[in-house]
Amino acid sequence: MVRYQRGDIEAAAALIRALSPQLRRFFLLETVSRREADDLVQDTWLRIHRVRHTYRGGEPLLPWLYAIARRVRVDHYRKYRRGAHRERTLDEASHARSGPQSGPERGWDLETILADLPAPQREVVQMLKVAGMSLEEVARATASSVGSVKQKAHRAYGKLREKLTVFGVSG
Amino acid sequence: MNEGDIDGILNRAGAEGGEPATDEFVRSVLGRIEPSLRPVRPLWPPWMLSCALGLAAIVVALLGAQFCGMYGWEEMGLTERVAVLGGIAAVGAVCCVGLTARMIPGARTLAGPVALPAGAVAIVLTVLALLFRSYAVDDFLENGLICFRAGLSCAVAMGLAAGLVTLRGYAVDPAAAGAAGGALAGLSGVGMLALHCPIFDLPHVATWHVGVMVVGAGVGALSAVACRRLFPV
Repeated sequence: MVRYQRGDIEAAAALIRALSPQLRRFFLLETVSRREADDLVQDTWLRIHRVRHTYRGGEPLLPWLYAIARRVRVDHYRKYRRGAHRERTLDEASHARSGPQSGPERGWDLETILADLPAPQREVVQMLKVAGMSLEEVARATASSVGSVKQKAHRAYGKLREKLTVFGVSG
Repeated sequence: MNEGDIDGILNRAGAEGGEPATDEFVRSVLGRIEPSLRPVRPLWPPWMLSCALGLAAIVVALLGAQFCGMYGWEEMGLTERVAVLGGIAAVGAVCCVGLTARMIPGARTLAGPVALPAGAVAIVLTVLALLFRSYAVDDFLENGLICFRAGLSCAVAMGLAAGLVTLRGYAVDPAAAGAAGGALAGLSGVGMLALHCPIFDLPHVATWHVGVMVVGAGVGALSAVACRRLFPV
């Protein structure tokens, strides 16, 4: 990131390759359309580019990155109205979250497992488990306290335990 | 099923998927950023930003009080000077640190978006209530509006100064940043009024002096949101 701030395009490319997959998953947790998720990832990189001077070398990168990504998501929903219809293409509908009969057999993806959680809990679990962030880093990214993050994670795990038990998924 | 089992499921699900970025995608993003890719100077360290904000608040308050007359300073005893100005300075320091944190994505925040300005107002009110025990309301509106206008003028000047200091920052929550900045600007107005205004009646200072902070926080939040909508990043 520091090299990117110095204008190194190879560093920029490396960052985009390394971090785009988890950013994409972050947006896929909220949006159904993969195309929309890709657009949001691209918007995030453009915003990162515009505010790259606000990153301070030596500080953890992920809280900074996810704080910006969360803002992109908020701006996106405000632009397209929160809770507006979600579009699915026919192809995506065929890969949609499946019922209990086929889920465990095909394997559950992260989006399916977290689908029923409230957005704040889903976000916290994604950051902890996919991004591998610490509680402190998640707290910074979400502008909340470590206690609040722990509480959300605890509640999320409670709901996940119920869901996974009902569907007979074992650990 | 215990947490370890759920962790295992999540870790496996998290490890799968996550399609790598395609070359086309990377090229697409690079194509859009390359024209403006040049070295940038990182933001000042947070402590420097906070000190710059604090210095601006003090200078604005002092200049305003000098311009209007230091009648309040002359009327206050030593205890009142220390308590009032010390309390304002302490709350101001917290607001400076809070505003700086809001300008850096992912920075540690001291308090929530409402808690910081609300807490600042509550502390200043408490200090004033403990010090000033007169409840007279002579010429409440007439004197109050004079102070309110003077305090707001100072707050506007400090708001502009704070905007200059934090211009290069990026507030992921513009309303929270604006509220913190507005509270700080209002606090500079309160400081100016503490030095200038010789009226120590609690209804007067609680309403008109502290009112500058409340209005500052509200206007700051609205202004920041409006600026973000007009000039999106």
